[in-house]
Order: sequence, then C-alpha cells, then structure tokens
Amino acid sequence: MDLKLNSKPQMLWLSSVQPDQSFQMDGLRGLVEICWSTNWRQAQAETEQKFFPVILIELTDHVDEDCWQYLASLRIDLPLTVVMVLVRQPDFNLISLAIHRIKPWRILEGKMSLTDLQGHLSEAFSEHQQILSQKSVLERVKQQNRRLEEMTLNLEGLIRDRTEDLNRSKVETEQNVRKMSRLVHFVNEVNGLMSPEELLLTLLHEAKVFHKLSEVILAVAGGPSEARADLRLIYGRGQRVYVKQGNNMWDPSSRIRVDTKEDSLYLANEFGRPFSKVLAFPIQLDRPGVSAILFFEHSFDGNEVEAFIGFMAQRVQTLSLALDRSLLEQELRRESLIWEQTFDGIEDPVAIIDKNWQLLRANRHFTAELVPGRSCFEHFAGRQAVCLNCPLDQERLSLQAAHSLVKRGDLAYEVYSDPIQLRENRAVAFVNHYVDVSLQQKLQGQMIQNEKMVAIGHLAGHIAHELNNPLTGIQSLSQLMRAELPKDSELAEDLFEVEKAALRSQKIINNLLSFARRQEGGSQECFDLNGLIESTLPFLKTAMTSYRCDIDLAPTALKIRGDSQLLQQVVFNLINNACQAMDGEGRLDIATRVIDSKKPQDSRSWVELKIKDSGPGIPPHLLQTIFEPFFTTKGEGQGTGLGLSLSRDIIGKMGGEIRVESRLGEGAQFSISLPLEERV
Amino acid sequence: MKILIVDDEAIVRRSLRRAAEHRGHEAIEAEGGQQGLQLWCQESPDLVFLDVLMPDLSGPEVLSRLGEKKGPAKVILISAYAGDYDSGAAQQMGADLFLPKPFADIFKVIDLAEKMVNRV
Repeated sequence: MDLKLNSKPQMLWLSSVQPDQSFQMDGLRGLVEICWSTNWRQAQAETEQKFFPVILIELTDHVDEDCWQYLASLRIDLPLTVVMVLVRQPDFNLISLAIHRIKPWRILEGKMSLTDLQGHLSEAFSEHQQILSQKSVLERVKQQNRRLEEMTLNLEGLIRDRTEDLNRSKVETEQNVRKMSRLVHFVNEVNGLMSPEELLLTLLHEAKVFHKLSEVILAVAGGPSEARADLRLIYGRGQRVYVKQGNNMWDPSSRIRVDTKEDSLYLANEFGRPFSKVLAFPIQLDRPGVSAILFFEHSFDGNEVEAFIGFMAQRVQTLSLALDRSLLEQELRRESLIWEQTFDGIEDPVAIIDKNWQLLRANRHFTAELVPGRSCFEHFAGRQAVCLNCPLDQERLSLQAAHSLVKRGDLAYEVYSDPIQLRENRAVAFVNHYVDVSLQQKLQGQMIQNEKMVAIGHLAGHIAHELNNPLTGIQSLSQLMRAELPKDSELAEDLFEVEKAALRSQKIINNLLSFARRQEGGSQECFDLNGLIESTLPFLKTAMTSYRCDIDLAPTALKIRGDSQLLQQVVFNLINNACQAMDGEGRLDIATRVIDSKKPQDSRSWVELKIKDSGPGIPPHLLQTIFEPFFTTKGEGQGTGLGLSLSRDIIGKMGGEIRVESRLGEGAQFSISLPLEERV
Repeated sequence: MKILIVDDEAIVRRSLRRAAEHRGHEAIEAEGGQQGLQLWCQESPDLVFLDVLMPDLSGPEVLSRLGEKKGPAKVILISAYAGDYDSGAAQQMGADLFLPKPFADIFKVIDLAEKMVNRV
C-alpha cells in the first residue's frame, strides 16, 4: 500500500530503548505517526484507548514475565493488528522466545537501515489492510450465511404453512369433486332418461344418503291435449315407483315450501293417509299448461333440512329440464304415433326415400319391416337394382314432382313422387305414393285388345264385302266361260286356274273374317290346331317373307278345345314376334306334335306347338319377366301385340301352358302345350 | 223362267245373267233397290236375286216395300257380307233363301233357283 496517499497511519512502538538512540526517527515521522511506549504497561494503556494497525516491539534482554504475557495476549486481543518484533542484538534465545510466545507477523533482526525499516513498515501496513479486507469479506460471508439461514428458516415455515393449506384444501376439493361428480352423474343419468317415472327413480337413488327421507312424490299436471284432466302422482321409496291418478291441484305457488300445513293436507287428501312434514319443490317447466312439483316426506331436523335443500337446489334445474324434455318426448311420441298410424292406415304403399334410394320411412303396405341401409327397391320389389321407370331417376335432378309406372312382381304401380324437405337445410327426400293399377292396366290392355280386334273386324268385314263382289264375278264368269269352251282347251284350263285363285282369295277373306270376329263370352269349340295354324299363316306372309320357314305339322288333325279365335291371336302374335325379333334374315321353325303325358297319374295326351326363331335371343334377366303384364321391349306405339301375359292367360284358360327357352345369340323358342281333345 | 237380278255390282249382275241365259232363262237386271222394286212390279219375275246392301234401297227394304205386291216370285237374298244373315233370317224378311257371295259354283246357284221355282 502506498502510505503517502492516506492520512498518516499510526503505529505503536514499544521499546525500552529511546528511539533517538536507535534510529533517526525524523526519517520515519514523515511516513507514520509513531506512538512511543517505553514499557508494556504504557503500551497496554495506549492499545486499550486506541487502535493501532501496526505494533513494533523492540525486545531487549530484560523482558519480564508480565511483559511476555501482555505481548502474548496481543495476538488474541488485537487480531487485526500486525505485530512485528525487532531484535537489535543477535540473541537466539530471545528470538525463539519471541517467536514462541508472541507469534509475530515478522521478526526484524539486527541493525537496520531506515530504508529497511520503512520497507518492513510499509509491508506491515499492507498486511493490515489485507487482514482488514479479509475480515470484511469474512464478515460479509458470515452475514450472508446468517441471512440465508434466516431465509431457509422462513421458507420452511412457508412450505409448512402452504402444505397445511394444501392438505386442508385437498380434503375440501375432494369433497367438492365428489359432490360435483355425483351431480354430474346425476345430470348424466337424468339426461338419458325418458319417462318421469325413471326420473323419480334416479332421484330416489341419489337421495338415499338422506336416511330421514321417507316418501318422494313427483306430481305432474296437465298436458297439451287433455288439459288439466291428466294429473299424475308418481311416488316411491327405495327402488320402487308407482303412479296414481291425482284428483286435485296442489298449491300452485312457485316458492320452495318447508313443512306447510297445506302441502301435508294436500298429500293426505290424495293418498288417504296422514303426512307430517313435507318439503315442496315446485319445478319450473317450459311447457305451457303443464306444471310439476316434488314433495318430500321427511323427518329432518334444522341442519338436515338446509343440507337437503342445498342438495335439491343443485338438482332441481336439471330435473326440470329433464322433465320438460321427457314430457315433450311423450307428446312427440304420441303425435308421431298418430302420424305413424295414419301413415300405416293408408292402403296404398307410401315411402320416404332419399336421393340415393335409401328407404327412410315406409308404411306397412310398403314393407313389413324396414331394414335400415336397404334401398326402396330391395324392400319393395325385392330387386338389386333401381326399378325400371323409377320416377326418382328424373325427379332427383329436377326436384319436380314426377310419376311413372313401376312393376312389383305381377303387379303394376303408378308411383307418384314428390320432393320434400324433411328438415331445414337438409337434403331433399322424396315421398313416394304407390297406387296399384294392375287391374286397371290389365283391363285397359284387354280393352285395347278388344277394340283393336273390333276395328280389325270392321275393316275385315268391309274388305270382305268389297272383295267378295269382284270375286263373285271372277269366279262365276270363269265357270261360265269354262262351260262354254271345249273341256280340253288351253283356255278352259287357264280359266280353271283363275277360278282356283279366286277360291283361295275367298278362303283368305273368310279366315280374316273369323280371325277378326270376336265371339262374346268365349266359345268352347273343338278345333284342329294344324288347321288353325294353316289358316293363320297367310296373314303373316309379308312378315315371314325374308325368313326361311320350316313348317312341320303333325300328320293328323290335332283336336283341341277352347276359343279358337283367341288361340289364333296367340299364334299370330308369337309368329309375328319371332319375325320381328330376327330383323332381316333368319330361320323360323313351326312344329306341332302329340306328346304323351310323362306323369303316370295323368293319362291325357298333349299337343305341343313350337315356334322357334334364330334371332338374338332373350337376355336372361328378361326371361323371368317376359310373361309378366306390361312387359314390352318395344317402343311406345310399337307394342301392338297381344302381350305375352294375355297369351299366357288365354293358354291357361285352355288348360295348357306356355314356356320360353332362350340363350343369347341362339334365338328363342316358345312352346305351347294344350290337352289333346281326341285322337283322330 | 223369268229372273230379276237386283244388285248394284255390275259384275255380279252380269255373272248371274250370263249363267241364267246359258240355261235358257230370261234375265232382267236392276242396278239398285228402286229400279228393282219398279221392275219387280212391271215384270212379275218367277225368281229374284236380291242383294242385301245397296246404296239407294237395301234388299230387305225392297221386300218390305213390296209387301203383298211381292207376288209369287221366289227370292234369293245374296250378300258379300258373310255372316250377316242366314236362311232363317232371310225367310223372316220374306225371302226364301240366303246365299253368300261369292258363289262356289254359279251353275249350282241356277240349279237351286230352278228347283225352287219348279217345286211350286
């Protein structure tokens, strides 16, 4: 340390020797302020009054024990003071004593120049400064340790307090959580319930912690339609709930009432037994015209009443919501039941279908059982694909009401389909109404056929009349000329040919007339199938022109019984169909034969007519439906034929049957078998 | 035998007249009902071929107009409308026979007419 910069440092110089004798003190006085002590007692007095950073002890040989003790005490009493010992004489004993007893910082030995002494002093002062700073650091560390200790202590207390708090609140929280979870459970329970009875049962279950609760009664009055007539008292205890019809209305005030006489009296009147203490919780309902109340018969004392009211206060809103919903649902169920019954009561099938043909709802005439996820066509027609002519096909795009004729097995339905929106912003659905028009269609078909035949009859009659007159001339004049000519002349022979041609023409006209003439009531004549075919073929000549025809009729007449005109129409249509199917070229086989019954119990013989074409054949999926009414593959106006269903009816009435065999690309063969009337 | 042929079809009249003349009978033609009625009264024929459907007056109408003036003449109704009448119906209307046109054999028709007239 640079002593010059500070105010002069102080030091104590203890020496029995006069300094003047030893050093030129003037040289030191400029640096330090020296306090001289010539004996240890004086030095003690000085050090007690004043602090000296440095003490220099000059030892001489006569040091008594008291002085030694004083000097030894310096190190302990003045720990901040740097103690130096100066021994001018080289006295080993003295030095070792000094080291041993005083334990000085430094021992200065022998004669010493002023400069040396100045250096030692300067070092001693720096040592003091170091000690000082060490001490202050130590002090600070100590202080900080103390503060740390304090803080630690505080923290522990805090933690202890907090832990206690936490423990306390944990219990509370757990209780609250338990309460809340029970409440939540209750709310959930109640939300899933449907009927007021179930609601009461749940409430009973919840309230079973309140042992002093005896009977719980839920009274519900009024309804949308029956007004006040419907007053139900739902009551129970434990696990069972009962319902009885109430007679009178309770006190309608909306306050929670504790043990009022009126409520006890009311219940006593309704139940025919005394009620002592009754808590009444009116339930606020949104439904107009409906009110509800909960009565609790109990034997609570003051605190328990409060606890119970608290318990109920948490639940009464949930209950009222649930009851509201439950009543609404009951009403909706009742309403929807009415609609469902109305829906089911409609004799025609009715269904609601979405735009992907999924069946949403249907009445029982549509399907006995609605399988969700199944389409309308699966339900209604047992089909795997959309019905032919489904009105939805056009309607789902245009959203315009549509109707069309759809088949279901042998029946035909006119389907009226209207788009509806079941809910706002929901996809459109379609209400389909199915009207069975099978009979109408059948009658219409028969009527058309009859009218057609009547028209043909008129036409045929007219043609016959127009042709018969010239034919009379041709035939008669030929005969006349032949009579006037020599028998073997060429001309006579020519005229004979003319006559034959006229005869054939006449026959064709007669056949046409009988074909067209429909006998009312259906005749039951006996006729020859071969003859019928022969008389029919001339009408089909133009239709058959371009085909190779192989006609192989049984050699004998095939007598059958029935309406020959109708059968002729069937044969005509089958041959005509075969020709139309071939479209241009092909081969037509017509054959008749007698077949004996294969069944042992049936001794009858049968006549079989086969009409086979080499057309494209009938697709397998159409083979099933080809005999069904209203089946046609022909365009509108082209299906002028009898229709295979009518053909099947005609054959059926004659006791026979008609079958079809066909493979795609290999043509089709229709076989008619009829019972043989007599063998010729 | 005098035969009156009432038919609006010329070729039918001609056929019947030629066949009748071939057998040596006298034949008169009437082109319609009115003319037929007139000739019937004028000529008093032994036999009349009377067509059913004619534009002015039909065969049955001619018969009903004649009434008692029909005389002894035998009447054969002829028609190209097959199935219109049968001989029973023809007789009810005052005719003796019904024959559909065309005739299978014109000479057999004349034979039939001769038999009917000669039977009397």
